[in-house]
Amino acid sequence: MSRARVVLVDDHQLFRAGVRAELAGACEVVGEAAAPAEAVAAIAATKPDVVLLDVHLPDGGGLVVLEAFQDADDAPAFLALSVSDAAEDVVPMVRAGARGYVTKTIETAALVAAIERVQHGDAYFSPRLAAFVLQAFSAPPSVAPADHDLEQLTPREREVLHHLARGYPYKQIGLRLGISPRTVETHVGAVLRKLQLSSRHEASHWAAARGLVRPDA
Amino acid sequence: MSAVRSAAPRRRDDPAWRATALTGTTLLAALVLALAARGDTLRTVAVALAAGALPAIAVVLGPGAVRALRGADRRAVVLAVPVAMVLALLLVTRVERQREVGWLGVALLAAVCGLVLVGADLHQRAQRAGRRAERSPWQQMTANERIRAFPWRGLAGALLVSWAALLVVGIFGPHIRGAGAGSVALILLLGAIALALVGLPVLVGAAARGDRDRLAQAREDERQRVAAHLHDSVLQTLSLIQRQAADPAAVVRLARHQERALRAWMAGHPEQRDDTLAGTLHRVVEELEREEAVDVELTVLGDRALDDPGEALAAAMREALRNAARHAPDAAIVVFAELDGQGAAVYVRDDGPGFELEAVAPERRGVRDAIVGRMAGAGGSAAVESRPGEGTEVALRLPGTREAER
Repeated sequence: MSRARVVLVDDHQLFRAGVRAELAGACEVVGEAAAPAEAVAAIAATKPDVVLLDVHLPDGGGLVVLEAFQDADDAPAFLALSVSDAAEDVVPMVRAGARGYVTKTIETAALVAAIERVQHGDAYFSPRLAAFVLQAFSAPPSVAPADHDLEQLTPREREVLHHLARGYPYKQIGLRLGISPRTVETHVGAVLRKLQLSSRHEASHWAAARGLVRPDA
Repeated sequence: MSAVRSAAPRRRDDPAWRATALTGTTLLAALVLALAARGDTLRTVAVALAAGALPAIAVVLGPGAVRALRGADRRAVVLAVPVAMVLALLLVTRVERQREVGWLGVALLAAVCGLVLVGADLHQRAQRAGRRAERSPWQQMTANERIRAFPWRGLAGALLVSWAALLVVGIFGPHIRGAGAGSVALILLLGAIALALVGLPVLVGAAARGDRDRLAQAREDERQRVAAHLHDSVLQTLSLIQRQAADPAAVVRLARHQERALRAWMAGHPEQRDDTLAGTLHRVVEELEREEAVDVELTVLGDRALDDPGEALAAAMREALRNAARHAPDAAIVVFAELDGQGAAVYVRDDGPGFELEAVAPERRGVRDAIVGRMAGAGGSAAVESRPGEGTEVALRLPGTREAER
């Protein structure tokens, strides 16, 4: 397995330095950026596998970066990273294209695991993220009130998500549901797609309606 | 008529200006009525309008032009007022050739100019009060603005208005006997308006100042509240961390605990409510993290009021967490709770060593009594699932209120 080429986007220089040091053995950090415009340029220049993207950035936040690559064919895998684990921060990032979400208190081993997972095109759902996504799909939706066009989950997908929220690893979910871990991954990928495909621009509207980003940003 | 209102077109949101404009308009209307009562309606209305429009033009356009030329402001208004008075007086007497109407024009002008002065004074005061409210104490101390406490302009304005009122009474005085009750009422009305002219803006100005003071007070209260909270939480934790610097585990625990509390506070739910089940679950998890020195990732979806079965559920969760902390001390503990009116489910899972359920000695009754028995007593259920090497999950369920009745 080749080492993942990673770009770090965070407006705190100290934090970037810390993550860079933590990842030193496992990944290759090819670029850093402190603001959305810088990040878009760095990603275009270095073509990384994975972008670690902070949610709260100056000039519109991580959503702006995600939106810039929404229609790109060769977009890297985005892994959102924030101190916040509030649903209103987590869900828009995933809906706008992030393949996973981790909080900044994550341990190095778990961060590397998350990077590797999104690098290979899979989703990284922490138990909490799985719970929020479950909530976003359930009616009456209290996280995303305007999501009537959100495609419904199949019972199996819901089951997988529920087990993720309870903290089960893929292997055990597969055992419990009588399917292979790879099938579990497929279900999680399907959930992610349903979340992101519901509407290309809904995530930004969703965030704008809550004052998380400026509507013109 | 629009003299006062237009004199400060950019300050329409100032309550003092609105009050002066309103009373000024009423005064003009009253004067028109007074003139009309004396005879030829059409002509007197025209005269009154002219008398109102002339100072309006002089007071508004004149200073505007001067300001545009020289960049001066209110001094131009003060200069323009006497000029406008004389001009209007000349014109009105020319047109009307009646002494009384001429004097009425003068009275009108004096009243309008008085209004402008009172309004300007109040406006300046309100503005200054506003600026003061926005400043920090240090800025206030070092401000080089000359503050005139005595309301010279307001006083002059009030005097002008009073003089105008006296003048009108003087003109109409000789006619009162013949004119009857209507004229007396009119004069009383004019007097009342003159009083209102002086009193109302002062009251409104005071109210506006009071609003600003309250706003400043609210800001200060908020700052003190934030400071008190930070002192009790973040500063307290920081000092604890300094004292326990030798114990990395304790430092991590303190930092994580504080981080969670600060996040909850920033998200707008500062204190966990104890009268809901979600709040209780959060509190129990926090207490247990402190007691057992473990990290628990708790996610709660939904909420419901705390009732007796809910209390039992929280107590059973505490027991399940305690077991997890004892038997899987280094494992990650995840708690997922789904709460709504239909029911409640809490899953406590650790990825520790796990165990064979059958192998647990019957004398170790902790699980059976504290968890299974408690949930059964509350009308719910508890299920323990574990296998060696695959962690343990305790699922606690309560039926919904409707289901429980069945």
